[in-house]
Order: sequence, then C-alpha cells, then structure tokens
Amino acid sequence: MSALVYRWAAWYSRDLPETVTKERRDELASDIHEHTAWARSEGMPDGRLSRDIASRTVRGIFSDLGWRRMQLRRNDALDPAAGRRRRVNSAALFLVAAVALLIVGWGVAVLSRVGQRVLEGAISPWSDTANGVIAFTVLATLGLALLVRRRTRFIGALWLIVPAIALLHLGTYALISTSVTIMMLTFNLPSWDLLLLALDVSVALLLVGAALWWWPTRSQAPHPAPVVTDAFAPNGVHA
Amino acid sequence: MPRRKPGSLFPLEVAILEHGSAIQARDGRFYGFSLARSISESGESLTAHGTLYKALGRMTDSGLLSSSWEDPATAEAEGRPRRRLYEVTAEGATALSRAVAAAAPSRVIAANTAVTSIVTSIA
Repeated sequence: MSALVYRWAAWYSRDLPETVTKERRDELASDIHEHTAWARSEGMPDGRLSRDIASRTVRGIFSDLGWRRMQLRRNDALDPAAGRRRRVNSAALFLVAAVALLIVGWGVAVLSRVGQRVLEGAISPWSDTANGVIAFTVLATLGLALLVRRRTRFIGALWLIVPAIALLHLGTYALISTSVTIMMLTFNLPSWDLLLLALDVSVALLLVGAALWWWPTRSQAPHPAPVVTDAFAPNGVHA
Repeated sequence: MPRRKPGSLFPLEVAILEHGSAIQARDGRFYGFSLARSISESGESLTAHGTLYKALGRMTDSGLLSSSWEDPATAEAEGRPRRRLYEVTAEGATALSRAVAAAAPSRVIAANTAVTSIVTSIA
C-alpha cells in the first residue's frame, strides 16, 4: 500500500523543485513508518493497516492537489518564464488530448452507425471503408495512449496526424452511405470539401505544433528520478 | 477550501496547536504522525496525509510553528526514517489563546440560546 502512496506523491509533486519534492517524500516515509510501527505495537492486522493508510491518502487527495497548486504558484513567482512554459504546456496537452478524444469518439460513433446499418441488413459488413475506420480508430487510440507519458508525447502528436485526417474523410464517407442527414449535408453544402480541408489543415498544424513544442532537447531533458536518501522508501522509489 | 478571516484559524489548525502544545510539553517537539495519533485519540480518524502536511506547511510558513529535520544519525540509530520535528512558536501559542478566547463567547451564546429555547418550549 505504501508503494501506492509514494507513486501518488511522485505524481502530484512532479515538476516541483527537488528539495520540495524530497521533503514531502521524506515526511511521508516517516509518517508511514511510524504508522506501521504503531499499528504493529497495537496488534492491528495488516489488512486494517493497509486500509487505514489508503483511507488517509484518499481523504487527502484534494489537499495534495491544493498543495501542488500552491507550490507551483510559488515557483511561478520566482521564475515567471518557467510558469509561462508550464501554462503553454498544459494548454497544448489539453487541446491535443481533446482533439484525440474527439477523433477516437468520432471513429467509435461512425462504427456504431455502420454496425447498426449492418444489423439492419442495409449494408454488407467488412467493407473497405468500415475496415479503414476500425484500423484508424485503433491507431488514434494508440496515439492517445502515447500522449499520457511525457517522453512519448511528441510521438503521440505526430502519430495522431494520419488517423485524424483519415478518420475525418473515411468517417464522412462511411456516413454518407448510412445516414441520410450526412448525405444531404454533403451534397447541399457547396463548401463541404473546403470545410474538410480546413479541418485537415487545422488538426495537422495543431498536432505538428504540439509535437515541436514537446520535442525533447538537451536543455529540456526530463528531471532526474527522485532520490530518497534514507533506506525506508519502498522499492522502486528510492535510487 | 473556505476563505478565512485574517488572524483566524481553521479547526484543524486549532487542533494542531492544542495537541502539538500538549505533546511539546511532554516530549519537547512533535512530528506528523504523533500529532495525527494524538488528534485521533479525541475520537476522530487519523488525519489524512495531504490535509495534515499541507496544514503543517502552511502553519510553518505563517510562523505559527517552526520545524527542523531530525539528525539522520539519531534516526539511523533507531532504525527508522528521520522525522520532521515541529514546535509551536510563541506566535502560535498566542494565536491559539486568541482562538480559544474567541470560541469561548460563542460557546456561551450557544449555550444561552439552547437554554432560552428550552425555557420557551416549557412556557
């Protein structure tokens, strides 16, 4: 259980100065050790101790996040340029993740519509378009997963370009044969192609821009792994 | 988190100062878990990690508490991680006295209100 506490602490103290992170980690290491020693002296079963530690962690989540926000504000005041970088980074991540989710959602929505028409017997299954939508939805989901880790984020942004553009076109094409509304819209809206092209270019520019922003450089090398100087942190947390 | 009036304390901060002062009188200084355990003895569950250490940090920053890390050699000799030791400062003691004094009239008013409502209901 304590390993989970340390992982949570490592997550909410990421990007903070090493001294601040280390002090929080050392204080937690002491607390968990004292808690464990006290519980054993009271004859408390291990299961109850684990539940107590988990409960203390979960109940403190909002305070941990508040503490992080406070520390970041403090850092931003000391280094405004770093604060700006962090805000741009958060905005880029938010935008790219939103686009990726929309793309995956679009793929799933198209597939459910195609599936519905297949069940109704209106169209035959496993058409090239449906297969393409399935493949690119899977690829878009992989791209979304690559955004989760900071180190692979730039790959994720680049990865998403092809499935995003392909799904926009294939999805629309698949819906033309399964949805009267989409068919009417595409035939009656003269600027439909232009709209799709504008969407392609916007999405591609956003993803390329985000990939360049996240591109690893020597000066932006990831922070070294946290180091716990005492021997009481769980395996995998201390150096 | 609710906004507070300048100079006022949150209930957790009052508890930290009360229990911290008691442990300090007995042991000299106190650390996070000793405080959590002491507070829990008054019938509450052990204070959450995040809540406790955020409050301790805030109180240290505002001068109500002072803190220092225990000598690593002492901790090592006892086979445990080093503790961050806290002390209630003179400013903290004054803030606690003020908080207790401020709480006392409201307790009296609450008691008076309760008595008045009981008398009214009897009449």
